[in-house]
Amino acid sequence: MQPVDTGFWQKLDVSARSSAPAAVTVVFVLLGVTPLQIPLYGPVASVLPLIALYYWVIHRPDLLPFSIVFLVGILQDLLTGAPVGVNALVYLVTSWLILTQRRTLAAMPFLILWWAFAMVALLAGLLEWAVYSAIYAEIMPVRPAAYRVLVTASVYPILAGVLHLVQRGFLAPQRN
Amino acid sequence: MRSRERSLAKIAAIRAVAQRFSFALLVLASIAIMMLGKVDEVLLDGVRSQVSDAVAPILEAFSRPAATVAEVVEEARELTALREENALLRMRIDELQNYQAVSHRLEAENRSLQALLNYEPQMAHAFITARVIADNSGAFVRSLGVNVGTRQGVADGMAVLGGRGLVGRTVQTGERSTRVLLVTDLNARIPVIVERTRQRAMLGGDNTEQPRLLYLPPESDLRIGDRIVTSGHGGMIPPGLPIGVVSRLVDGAGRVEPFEDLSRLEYVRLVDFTPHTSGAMIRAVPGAGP
Repeated sequence: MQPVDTGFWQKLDVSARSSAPAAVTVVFVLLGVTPLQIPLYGPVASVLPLIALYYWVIHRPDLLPFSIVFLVGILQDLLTGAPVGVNALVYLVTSWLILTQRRTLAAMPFLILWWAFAMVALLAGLLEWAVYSAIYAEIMPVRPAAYRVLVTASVYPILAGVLHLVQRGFLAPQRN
Repeated sequence: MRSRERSLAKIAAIRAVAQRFSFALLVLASIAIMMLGKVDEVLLDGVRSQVSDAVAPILEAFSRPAATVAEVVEEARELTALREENALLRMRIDELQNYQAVSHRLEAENRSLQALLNYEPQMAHAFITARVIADNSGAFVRSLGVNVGTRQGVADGMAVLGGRGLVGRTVQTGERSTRVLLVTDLNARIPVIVERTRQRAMLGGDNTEQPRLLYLPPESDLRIGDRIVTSGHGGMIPPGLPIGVVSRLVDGAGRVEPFEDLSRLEYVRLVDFTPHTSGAMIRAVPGAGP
């Protein structure tokens, strides 16, 4: 059911609600560069946006188009001092991959989603590693990336929970 | 009815094509930007500084409650270990008092010898203290964002100190935010010397926790536990700032464990090493000097 347009305020409400996924993803980017002084936060921090991306592309791809994904990546590159474009490329390719499997994934139980996220994080890590190796024209060490994938995959359930609350709180259920 | 369905299908098909097109376009755009960054770093650095400046207030607001939470956690942890810590600290005080006596004696001796030699004193330095407002420790980048910029007199290339030693240097200065490249970053190269043997080397980060010692001659006598300090070569970083100790030797190449825990920095000091002759707020870097 499309909401019936009854006026300016409702339109405003709908558009504010539907910008929630993009807004949350941007907040995750900002949180990702905030020094929280929590043990193990460092390796998790830089992949927070990937978790948000994975969640929204599966559950509400209509609200996180490629253009937003691109901008999120560019913002993260600018803020973290990574070569500009790296995360944009990684996020674009990753969300395209998720999008192709989306219908299968959306119907899966949580454990499978978690496992699939680990795979996505691994692929994103590999891609990032490859891009960096290409940019610096030398083979990068794999260990930091691998370690990060492990830690990220293990915190996924907590953050997916948070995102689920956001989805329930702000967004109406979507037709597939 | 039929025509409506058909037109819906058409719209869906157009959408799919548009989506694919925008995907391809954006992928090309990211690659183009990457190449642009490789060719013209200065241009993108300008954009970067502006974005960092714009976001700095938000990050500062974010990092304050975060710091409070961290403090509470830390306090709870400290309470449990208070007694042992007390005993340990008493021991350390005794130890340090001995050191203090020695250092006073050495300082006096040094001063009298310098007077004897008519030694031109070292250039003095000013400090700028900054709060860490961003921690960008991705898998392939190690840098911090701090809340000072050109307004406070920060320039590119300044040495950045934690409480115990050098943590990095400034690389990109905005009006009110600055990026600090940590010694562990892939692009970090710091001229150093091995304190015991006075051998020169270069400390090169590789995104692991322990940067490598580069360009040490193969016959050099490097041992685990050797202190590594800045050499001052290159002129941007004052000589004698402690960085860390050699923690591992792999085929003669040393790995250096920094004194500072780079993942838990809250405040740092930026060293303004431009030559000053005199000034009220200026004093020598503690521990620096020949």
